[in-house]
Amino acid sequence: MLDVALTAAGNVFTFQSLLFLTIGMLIGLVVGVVPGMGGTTALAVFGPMTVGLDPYSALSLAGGLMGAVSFGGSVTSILINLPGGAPNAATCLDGYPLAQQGKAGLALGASASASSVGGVIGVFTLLLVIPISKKIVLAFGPSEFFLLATLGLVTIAACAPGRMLRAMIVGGIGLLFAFIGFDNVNGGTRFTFGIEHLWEGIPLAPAMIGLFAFPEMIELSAKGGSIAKDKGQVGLTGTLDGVWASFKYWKTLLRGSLIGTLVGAIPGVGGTVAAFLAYFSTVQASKNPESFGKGNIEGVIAPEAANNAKDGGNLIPTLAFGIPGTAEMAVLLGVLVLHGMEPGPTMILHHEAEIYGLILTLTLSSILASVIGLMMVRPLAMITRLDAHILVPSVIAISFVGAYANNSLPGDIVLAFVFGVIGYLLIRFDYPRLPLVIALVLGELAERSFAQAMMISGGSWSIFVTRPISALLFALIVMALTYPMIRTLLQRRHSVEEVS
Amino acid sequence: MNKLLAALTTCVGMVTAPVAMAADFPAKNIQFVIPVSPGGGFDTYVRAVAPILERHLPQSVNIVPTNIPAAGGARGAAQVYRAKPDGYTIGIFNIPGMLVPQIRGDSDLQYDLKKMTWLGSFGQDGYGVGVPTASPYKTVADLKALDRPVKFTASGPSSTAYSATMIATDMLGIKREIISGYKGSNDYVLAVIRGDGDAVIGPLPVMEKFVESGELRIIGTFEEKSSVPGAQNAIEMGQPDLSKLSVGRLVAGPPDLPPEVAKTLSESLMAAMQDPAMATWSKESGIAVEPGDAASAKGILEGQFNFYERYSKYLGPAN
Amino acid sequence: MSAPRKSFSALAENFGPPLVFLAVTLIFIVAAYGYPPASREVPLLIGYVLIVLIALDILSRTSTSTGELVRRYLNPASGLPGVPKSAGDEGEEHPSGQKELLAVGWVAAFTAAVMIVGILPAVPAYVASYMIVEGRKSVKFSILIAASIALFLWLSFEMILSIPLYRGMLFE
Repeated sequence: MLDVALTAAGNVFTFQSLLFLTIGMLIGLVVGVVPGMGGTTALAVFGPMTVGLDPYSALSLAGGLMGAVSFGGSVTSILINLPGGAPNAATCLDGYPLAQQGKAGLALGASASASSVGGVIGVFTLLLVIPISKKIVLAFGPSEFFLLATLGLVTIAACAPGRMLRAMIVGGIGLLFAFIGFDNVNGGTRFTFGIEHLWEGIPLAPAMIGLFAFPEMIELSAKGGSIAKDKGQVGLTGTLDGVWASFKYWKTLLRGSLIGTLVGAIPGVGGTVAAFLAYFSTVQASKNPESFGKGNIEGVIAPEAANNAKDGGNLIPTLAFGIPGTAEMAVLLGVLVLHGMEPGPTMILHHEAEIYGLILTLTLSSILASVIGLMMVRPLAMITRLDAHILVPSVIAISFVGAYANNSLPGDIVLAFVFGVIGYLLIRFDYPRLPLVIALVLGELAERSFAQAMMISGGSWSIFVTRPISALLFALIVMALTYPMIRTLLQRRHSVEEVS
Repeated sequence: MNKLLAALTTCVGMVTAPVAMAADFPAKNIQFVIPVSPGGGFDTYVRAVAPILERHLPQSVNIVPTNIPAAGGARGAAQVYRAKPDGYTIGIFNIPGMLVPQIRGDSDLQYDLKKMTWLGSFGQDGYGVGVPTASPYKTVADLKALDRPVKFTASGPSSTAYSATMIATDMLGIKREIISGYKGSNDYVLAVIRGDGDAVIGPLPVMEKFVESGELRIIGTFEEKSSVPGAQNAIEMGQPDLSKLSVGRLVAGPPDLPPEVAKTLSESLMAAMQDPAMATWSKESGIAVEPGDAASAKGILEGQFNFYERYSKYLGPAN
Repeated sequence: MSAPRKSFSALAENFGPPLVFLAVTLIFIVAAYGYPPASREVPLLIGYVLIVLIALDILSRTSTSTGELVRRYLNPASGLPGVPKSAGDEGEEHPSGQKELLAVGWVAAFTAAVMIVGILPAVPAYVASYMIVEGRKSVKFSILIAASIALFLWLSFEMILSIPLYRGMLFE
């Protein structure tokens, strides 16, 4: 393996490959920043242009692009609460409050280091598990998917300390929204209320753009001023502290990366789930869960690490069976095909050096993108000082066009607006909006996998405890449900004692 | 990157170009609509053939692959159907994927495949029956002999995979239970390997990937002559009509395309598919191309219409 | 807010939100009964649980002792209207209703414009007019910003990614 890796390195560290890596990385940063332009579209457009280049240059371009998208997306999440892509939404939760406090530099620094370290951990995990990759992919079936989704859903109550009841209500409404559209298991459409646009369900990207960016822009528009409330030293300091924060909270970093890799390895689950699971596991493990959502740096580190680590994980089903785990990976396979590499289980045997080359470029890109990003932190952070009257129309225009471009559907612009209003009203009337997002992300997966698990087991619930991974997930759910209650009770007892 | 520049300059030029006459077709870029998201077979085909097709057109213009996903492809199909019949908008069509909604009578379907101008075919993939390698069932007859329903994995009830499973199990007399809702062919084939079900009916190229990795055994192919050694073919299973179950990739333009324009497009497409570059790509990537001209595309379409109209009761609820 | 006569608007502010949730839930429940049993099972389950939760929310908004109990255990962070809230993560001071409506109105107008005349004319028109009318920026500067945003969108989506931008109902 070592000699192959050296060959791969020799091919990657050539002037041409590095040039294409840099080009890919810059494209990745840009498409990451602009909502609605995902890595998938960019790869589909630029991939075929590599015909005629040698495979290493093509892979460098692809790897560079994929490695940089996630960091690019985190930049707008932090600065203007606008997720560059759905997987970046989790980064908004604590990143944006930090920017409001004038600590955009800290958040961007942490995001940069967490995403590059996450990328490296993801790739290393990938290399370690290549021999057992088939087992990992096959170990997750509908019962595990259902429990994984449930694990995410039960954190709804925990993610709004002090407002559990309202969080559960919003989560329930979110689940109902998630059932809109095709019923994948039983056929037919549900809850479309005669609107044809809703057949495909509520598309995530427009809903996220509406729920996250819109309410902030409305508030900014009505209040005037700028995002950072304290105009003193916005973003000019703290970047290095942010970089170090990832290492200071190394447990968070590692947990996020491992969750990202694992979820990435399961076909059909996706990066959004990975980022949110990483975020909530961090909240759960923290000693101060109340501090999340108000600008806790760990809330930036975990999802960003997961986001980049998942690229490594995504390669696991691809290398094991030649099947793409995500749309992005599907396009990458298309690029490989253009260069005469037949995707399939034998790809790793026939094209070992190229695969290691790809892995290497993914790693290099996630590091390089962070370095470039760090150099731009200062000008970027200035966005938070920009006059609301310039920022608001620009952000609304670009993000709404992004909502459209994701699927080229004009109806999605209306959806972004509707979800924007919903998001704004939720905040206005003191309901947390996060449970709505989680339910939209996980609702369909939960219902579908539950129905499939029931069909497989012939209606017996024992399927959720007799399979080893299911049993483990089940235990985690019980823990997640009871732990906050126990903690609240303990705290209450403490405070009662203090009062008396 | 030169290509990108070229694309940019021609795009700018295109805005100012006058409406083209049929004689000097094509005079501007041609939009090649892919009615699904990037990634996946149909996208790969178009993006592979586009640069080759550019070389075979009488005038040098760009072919611009454009993904228009949503509504299971119906939106992209409608876009081509409603486009101006000038040859500058063509699309790739999944037959029977796009045909089933039409027969089923889905509401608000804004295209009519029978009226479109068919230009060519990239070929068809056959279906087959697969079981996990460790499965005790060696032939389709073994499945038929079971005294319990056989569990098949498939995508949702409106999908062609689901209808194909219903039609094939009925023809073969297999008692079935369908575990539905998987998100695509890779997903439901992987599901059967995982043990979610007993067997799967799916497109052969998808299943062959898993055969190669040693996880799946194909026990029957719905072809007249089996391409998989050791697997029975449709005739041996006593149901030659099974060979009508397939996934075809057909190319069409809007209705009433001027005959000269259609001829230019069709001939260039044929030449591109027969180009050695396409053959090299096909060989290296393992993706088959069986070039078919306009007449054969039309023939495939009509054959599929007849077949699915006969089995319309299996096509799931109309949407 | 312990005043005996509550104004209508205070009542609406207090009980309006849960009642809206209740209405949404009921719409979904009624619709669910139109689907086959397998399709409606899970939505109905969620719907009925929601009704219980919403009832609790309504209860917690009354000044009764049961309401107090629910609030203490399930929603300690939210108080009755008028009672200062504990520093909520998202519930900061809100701008006045009129200003909010105006801000939402701008976006609504933009959305409508995009749907009617398409993205490329609507974007610069919205950006420039917002900057001039709301922000009192100079006309030249506003047009410059508006034009560069439109150009950026056109170049990146239409030209480079070949995603055709929506032309509007008038021109489709």
